[in-house]
Amino acid sequence: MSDVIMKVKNLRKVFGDFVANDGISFEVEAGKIYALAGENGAGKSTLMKMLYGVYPIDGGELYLDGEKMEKYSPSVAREKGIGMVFQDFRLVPAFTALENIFLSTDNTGWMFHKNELRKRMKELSDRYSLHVNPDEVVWRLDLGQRQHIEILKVLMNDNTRILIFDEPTSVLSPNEIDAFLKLLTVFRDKGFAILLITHKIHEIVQVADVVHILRKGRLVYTFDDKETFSEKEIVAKMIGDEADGADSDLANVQAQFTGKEDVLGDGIDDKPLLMAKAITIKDDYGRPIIYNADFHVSAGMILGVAGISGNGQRELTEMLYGIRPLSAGKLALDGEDISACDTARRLELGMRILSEDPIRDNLVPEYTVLEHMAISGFPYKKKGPMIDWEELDERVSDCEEIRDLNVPDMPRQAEKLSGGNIQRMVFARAVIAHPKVFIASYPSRGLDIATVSAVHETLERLKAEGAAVIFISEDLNELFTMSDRLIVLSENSIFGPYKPREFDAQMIGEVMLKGVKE
Amino acid sequence: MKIKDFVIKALIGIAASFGIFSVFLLTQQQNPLVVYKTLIMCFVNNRYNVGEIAVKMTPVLLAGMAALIPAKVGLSNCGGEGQLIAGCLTANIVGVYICGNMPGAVGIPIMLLTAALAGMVWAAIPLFCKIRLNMNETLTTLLSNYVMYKFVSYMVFGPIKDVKGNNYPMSAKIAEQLRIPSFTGTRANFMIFVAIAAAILVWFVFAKTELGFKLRIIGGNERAALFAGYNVKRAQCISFLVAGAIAGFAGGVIMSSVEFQMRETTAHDLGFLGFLATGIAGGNAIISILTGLMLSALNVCGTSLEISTGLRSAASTILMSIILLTIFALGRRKRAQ
Repeated sequence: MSDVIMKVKNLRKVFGDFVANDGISFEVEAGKIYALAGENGAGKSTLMKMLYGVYPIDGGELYLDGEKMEKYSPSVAREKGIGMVFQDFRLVPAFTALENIFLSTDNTGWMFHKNELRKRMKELSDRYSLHVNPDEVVWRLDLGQRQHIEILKVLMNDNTRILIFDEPTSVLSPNEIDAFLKLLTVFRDKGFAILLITHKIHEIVQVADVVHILRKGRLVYTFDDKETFSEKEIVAKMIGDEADGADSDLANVQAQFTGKEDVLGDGIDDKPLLMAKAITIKDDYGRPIIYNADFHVSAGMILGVAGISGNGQRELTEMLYGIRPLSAGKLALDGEDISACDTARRLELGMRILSEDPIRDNLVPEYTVLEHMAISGFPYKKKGPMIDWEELDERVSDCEEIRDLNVPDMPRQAEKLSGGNIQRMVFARAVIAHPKVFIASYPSRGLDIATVSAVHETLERLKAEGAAVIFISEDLNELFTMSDRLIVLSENSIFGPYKPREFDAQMIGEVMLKGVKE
Repeated sequence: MKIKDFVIKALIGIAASFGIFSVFLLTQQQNPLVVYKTLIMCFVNNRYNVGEIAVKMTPVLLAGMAALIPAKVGLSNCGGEGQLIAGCLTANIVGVYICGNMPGAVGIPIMLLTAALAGMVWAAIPLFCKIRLNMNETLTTLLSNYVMYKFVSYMVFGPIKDVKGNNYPMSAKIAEQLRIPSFTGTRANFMIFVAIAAAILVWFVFAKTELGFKLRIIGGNERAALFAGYNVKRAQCISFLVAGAIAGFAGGVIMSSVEFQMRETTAHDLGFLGFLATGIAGGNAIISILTGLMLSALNVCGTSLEISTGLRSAASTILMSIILLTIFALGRRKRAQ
């Protein structure tokens, strides 16, 4: 076929020192579905935003119909026939579906020709079965219908030839996903070119004609024959194999670590301290994000939690800590059923948390570091009606964790601390209380190397004291070195436990991306 | 905000405002110096006018606390006005129909307590909407004020209209013994000290006790309080109900010390002035005493301005607005870098 619409050559994008995309070249032909696969942060979304003109191109060339694009912007992209459906929808919730579509049309007149627009919208929604009531306000529509509006917005432009979808299926339920994938093939057969970003490998295998694999901002491999790729091969290319993946995180893990040795022995699993049985947790939209799953963690053990972010990490930690209700199942701590206990009781029982976003969840802007230490359970004495701040200051400053972690000075006001300092403060506050169960979400995020190793040492020390540590991280390297057992959040479930020694990066990558371990 | 900083800023603000207001006075063919002299002189050797400041300041300060306490736990109570009037109305009804023959020592406390209760009930409605129905409390409390205005109109035109009142829309007066005795030569009474003590107590609780420390976390970051294991909703409910009770109590005080009977506009604007007083004070209860004093004094001298210069009383409202905006502008928080 020679129907090349778009051609890119050596595209490059940098954010400060960070190279998000480099040396990317490919062609886009009409009537094909191109899938882009890669780990978090591989540069997929950045690349698409460049193609749509949202981000300026820092290097390389972009050709449309053989013409080199100079002053490129989303309006030029739209004019040339490129439409993008964003991951976070760009709709006005208080407007109706029709009004939202009106906003996106390049309408130059004064009038809102409602009937004309409605006719056109109906025609398009009938043709592609994109059913949505034009007069319903958007905030009442579910996410699937909102996506329909976004697609209609793009189709309303007669020029559209290339459709870009950024993680379109992440907001859909399983049967909606099937319908959506069918819709993609309909678009393809009508002659549209489709660029699809997704984390879900089976979707790629189902619909894609060409698969581009991105790793660390570079296009590392392209499958261009539908017969030649399988889920397994795609995963292997994404995380990098021995042949050409020496720079991948996962490949590094494999090269440097065979995983932590199982010093605890199998017996440790028989006496769980914290036990979750058949738990179901719902996300903010009321959909089960973790369904009917089990896991446990024993005293004196670090349980690593792996998974692509957004697979229920936040919901799981909030449920464990009593901020989010447990929809079904049972949670027991030291034999006591705590499924219905509030956070105060869980704190009493020795549970502490470092949440994924301490600024959102823990920071009281007007309070000092010392005052933060008195919040959530570090014991203090009272002097008259007030907390004895001097005594607290003395005791807190004596803790070696405070020194090791380089916690900011006690009189400093929290509002004026950097993100890393806030992280240190909240982490230190949790560990100086010598918790029995410590839920640590991304404890090394945003910290320098010295502090990261102090964090790791602190976790080891807690473990030696007999604490059960639940350790959530995106960094597989860190997970493999620190964890005694690993579980994986994926496909609305919890997989594992796995022993890091018996498990390699390849295998965990597969579980993270597809759920089941083959 | 430190008290010293505030006083300096307030003085600068007042001076600047007087300057701006002079321009307005000149357009009205008034000599600013003469007008300002009149303003100051109305408090010199005038026991009655000084007393009037206390009369105004008592409900303003209490209503200010009704806005300040919920603000500390992250809620906004714009309904102090309605809660105060609810208390005022209730105190009148209880005073006229129940305590009519009781001695003051029994009747007055009953009136004040029922007034507080009424304020609490009137606050409970928007509170329910907030906690259970997740409705914005700023809007519901604000709107509840106007519902209370209309309710008072209905009451004084109908059920509680004084049968001996020549068909005027006003209620009967409460009995003589139910009126709080005032200081000689004024309409002021000891309740001003109760109000000031209340403000000091509120300051003490929030600044100097463990309870206040915990409550302020809720206002600072509700999620932080949740993560600290505090029962956020319970604390918010109690704080809000206490606030409603204080505003209602203030209404009871007005009824039993200066108004004695209910008319359509009785006790109007006092709740809003209180809200303003704490707003300018940046949520500091001690500074609220100063701002409450200032607002009350401006309010009182507005009347004498009208009498001695022939300017309309709206002129004093203009002056007050200029002063408030100026102090507000000076006292705004510098954005963190």
